Formats: sequence, structure tokens, C-alpha cells
Amino acid sequence: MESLSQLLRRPRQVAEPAGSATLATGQASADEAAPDIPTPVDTARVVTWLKRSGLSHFTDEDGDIALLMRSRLFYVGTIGSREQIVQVRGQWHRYVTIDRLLEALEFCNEWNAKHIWPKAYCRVMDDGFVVINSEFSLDQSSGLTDAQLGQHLACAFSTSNSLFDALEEHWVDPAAVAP
Amino acid sequence: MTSAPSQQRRTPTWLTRLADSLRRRAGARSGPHAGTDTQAGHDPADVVRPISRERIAAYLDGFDFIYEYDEDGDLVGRWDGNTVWFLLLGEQHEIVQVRARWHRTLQSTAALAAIQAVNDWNRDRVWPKAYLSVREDAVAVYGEFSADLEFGVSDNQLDDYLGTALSACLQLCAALSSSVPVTLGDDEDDPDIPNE
Repeated sequence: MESLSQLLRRPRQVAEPAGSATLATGQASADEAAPDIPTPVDTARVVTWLKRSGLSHFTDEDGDIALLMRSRLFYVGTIGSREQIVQVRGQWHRYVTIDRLLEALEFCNEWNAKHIWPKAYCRVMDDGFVVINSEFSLDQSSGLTDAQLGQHLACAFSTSNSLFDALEEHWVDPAAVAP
Repeated sequence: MTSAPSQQRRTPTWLTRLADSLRRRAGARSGPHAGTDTQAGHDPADVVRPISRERIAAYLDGFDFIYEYDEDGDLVGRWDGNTVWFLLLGEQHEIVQVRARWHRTLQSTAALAAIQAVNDWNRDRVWPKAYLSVREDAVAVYGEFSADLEFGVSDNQLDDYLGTALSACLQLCAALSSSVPVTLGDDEDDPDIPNE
């Protein structure tokens, strides 16, 4: 829980110094003039937040923003017919055998029942393995302020990593344990 | 909009009101970047303010929805027999959560099918987060939508969140009602909560 509170605190501390919005987009400086009025979220604002938070990312061939945190793959961006949803989707890097599908379903259900975020679910892949995803979504039809966006993104990454940490505890990697 | 032939099945008026509102709000914005420049005169509905139960109540009042306050002071109402709570969680009551309980309860023998149905929903739909909760030997299904409003929320944002949450939760309940045949008990028998 320490890392959660740390990450939650991070964007505010980093975002406070005004004039640091020197990125090429030009959008961020307009936001600072009216800090309490929500404005539309686009890729540039997400990238600005990632950079301010010290999170390195890459862009895949579809132009989607992705990042790796402890081998866990995250996509972050806007989805929907009007790009009206900001979403962070994560994937646990380990694959689960189909023989453990019910156990994985039960794990996700228990997580979803006990934790506010993120939504956890299983996907059965074509090769028969099961992957476990996290999803954190927020409607941005009426925009978001920088503070709101930073809060939601920090919350998304920290809670998703808590889910994946819980999975690591549930299925301890034998190779990571000393003999 | 399909209208099933059974005697009770007609489009509820609350649904029409909610759908009209969501459609109007979507139409008001031609895209995510509509109304780009925020100039001196801001729309008051865009000003970010702290969340409160009063603001949630005002939203529901705007639709003439029927609700009441439970023993914890949270707002609760019923739509199509499904109970929906509007909660403020967190130390500062800064997290708004819309939580719906499907009006039917499943026998524990149906849990396997239900857990797969719930996972499919979570995989294919953005909202709400759906899960099963076992009460004694029966299984209840919940849908949950949550947003952390630590930095406040504008009236427009709150309208979006609550409208999306309520309609998505009720879509989950409707999908379950049309696909899950086995039932045990029904919240509609509970007279304590007013039905919209």
C-alpha cells in the first residue's frame, strides 16, 4: 500500500511547477490558464502525464501508447466512437493453463468483489492459455482537468499493479523462489 | 428498441428519459474536441466542485427518479426491480460508486455458468465491473461503477458519470435477465425499496 500512496501523490507534486509544459503539443499550457475547467483528453495529454511521472512508453504500430511496468504490458489512451473514454488496460505477463481457468475466474471475481479498481477478467487465447487483464476506464465526454487526469491515471496504474502483485502471490513463480 | 410480447414488458419511462438525456448530451458534442477554447466566461456546469450526496440527489431529481436514503444515508432506488445504490466511499467520501444488484438471486448450482457470464461481460463491456457475491447458499450478481472525485467534479461530468453508470448497470441486469434461466427468490418481493 505504500507504493500506492506514493504513486497517487506523485502527479500532483510533479505537475505543480507551472511553465514546465514545454512539450510540443501546446495544449498543456492552455490548460494551466484555467486549471479547474475540464478539457478534452487526447494522446498528447496522456503522454505529457507519463513523461512528468517518469514513466517511459512506446507507440505501437496502431499509434497506441503502451508501456511496460515490471514486464506487465499496459495500454493507455482514449477509446469509443467519440474517443470519450480514457482507459488503462493492463495484462499480467504470465500465462495460466486452461486447466486453471476456473481458479483464474474465481480469483478475478473475488478481486472485483473486494476492490473498487481495476476491473479484472480472463481471456482464453487461441493457443488455449489464459491471460488476465486489468481495465480502468473513465468517461471524458465533458473533459478532465490535469489534476483529475493525473489522479485517474495514477490510480489506474497503482491499483492494476496491486492486482498483478496479488496474482504473483496467488501463483508464486517457482523460479523466483530460492531452492 | 424491441418490445417483447409479454404483458409486463414495455419500455419503462425512466429508460426513455435516461436514453434521451444521454443522446442529447452526446449530440451536443460533435467530437471530443468540440468547444476547444475555454475562454473567460465558463459554463457554470463545467466548473469543478466537491462531490456531495446533495448533488447526486439533484441529478436523480432532475429525472424525477424515485429513491430514498438507507440507514447509512446513502441513496438507493430501484429500476426494473434492480436495486441501485449511489454511494460515496473513501476517507473523504470522494469516490462516487453506483452499485446495482440484479433483482434475481441464483442457486449455487448456477454459479459456474454465472461466473463465466460475468467474466464475459467484464471482458466485452467497459462498464460496469460485474461480480458474484455468495450469500449463504445463494449467489447475487452486482454491477459497480466507481470514479475517484478527489479533485472535484463538474455538473457536466457528474451527469456523464451517473448517466453512464446507471444505464450500464441496468444493461447488465437486463442481459442477465434474458440469458440466465435458473432463479431462486426475487428482490421484487421486497417491499422496502421503492420501484422506479
